[in-house]
Amino acid sequence: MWDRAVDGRILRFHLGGVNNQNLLLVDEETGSWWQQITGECLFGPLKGKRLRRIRSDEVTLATWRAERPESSAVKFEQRYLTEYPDSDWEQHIARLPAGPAAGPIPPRELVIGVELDGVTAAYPLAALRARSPVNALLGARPVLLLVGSDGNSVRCFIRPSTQDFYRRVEDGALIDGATGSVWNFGGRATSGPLAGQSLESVQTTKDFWFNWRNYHPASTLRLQL
Amino acid sequence: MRKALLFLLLVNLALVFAPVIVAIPLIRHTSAILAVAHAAQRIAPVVSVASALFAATMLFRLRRPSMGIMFVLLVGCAVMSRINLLEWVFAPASDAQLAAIGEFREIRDNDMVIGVTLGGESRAYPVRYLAYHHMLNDRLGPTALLPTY
Repeated sequence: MWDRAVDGRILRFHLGGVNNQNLLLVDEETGSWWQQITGECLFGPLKGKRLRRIRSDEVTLATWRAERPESSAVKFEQRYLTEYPDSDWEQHIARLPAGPAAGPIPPRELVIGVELDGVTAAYPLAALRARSPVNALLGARPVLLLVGSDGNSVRCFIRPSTQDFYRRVEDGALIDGATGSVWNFGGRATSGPLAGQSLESVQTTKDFWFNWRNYHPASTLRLQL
Repeated sequence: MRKALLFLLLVNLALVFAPVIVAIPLIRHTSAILAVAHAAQRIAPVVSVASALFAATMLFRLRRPSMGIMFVLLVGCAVMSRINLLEWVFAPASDAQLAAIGEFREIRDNDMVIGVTLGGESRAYPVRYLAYHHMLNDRLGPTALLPTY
């Protein structure tokens, strides 16, 4: 999710092309080309500029509705109803050819990419599903990776200290070892000494491993959770 | 003169179709290929109009049928250079039509959405919607947003 304002000017974007299987965006105002996954302008008058990332969540409709009952939702356009992919479209995409294999997992395996203080890491989604909640370190920063009870919603939070460990209790809730407070999937303490407090969230990106690796060459792949 | 116009036509066809190689998913896009394609896309609208005007002048002066054909083809290039061919395949989204999340029934509960909250306002973009349009030029409060997928 990007902010369309660049140096005080609001740009309108269109589909520009494909750069090694990641989209290129073109803006109407200057004709510059932008890389979708990094927000970087590659060619044109705005070359070198970067779009500002806006924190977003990739969760199921049910999760979002429960957490943000006041939210609006964008409706399908009637004239394109036959064009929108089905609910299981991701499985079809997964069979398409991918870029060169880049490591110990298949190129089209889904990973959750995170970036914090210049440290980049990818976690295989299947491994996160199996092990959630995952108490991890990103560089020196302690983080917590969660997969929701729906199996598809993923979130990452900063743990206040390396000594803070979160474990799952019944009905998907979490409990922290330091204070015994109970936390929900939104990173909010619902009871205990820290009730009402929220953990700081970290942007996560669900992507194919080859694409994440292509545009984050310094990223590590975390297989041991 | 016919050869000069034929040359102009070939140049314009190259300029119009150069950006298409950037739409082919499975080729290795090097920085040089992308730079050439971008430059072609930038200059094609101007070059094609100038070429068509030149052909029109020649047609007016020499009045040969072949000049007429060249003129029509160059006007075709001028039109093509202004069309986003990718948006024929993936139509751009129109301005967002909104529903309250409680009444939103177009996708299943387990379908994914991209959610954003800014200044107390929240919006959900169905991933199936973004997977087709690929992006939406949207606004939430004072912020101009671009959800993409």
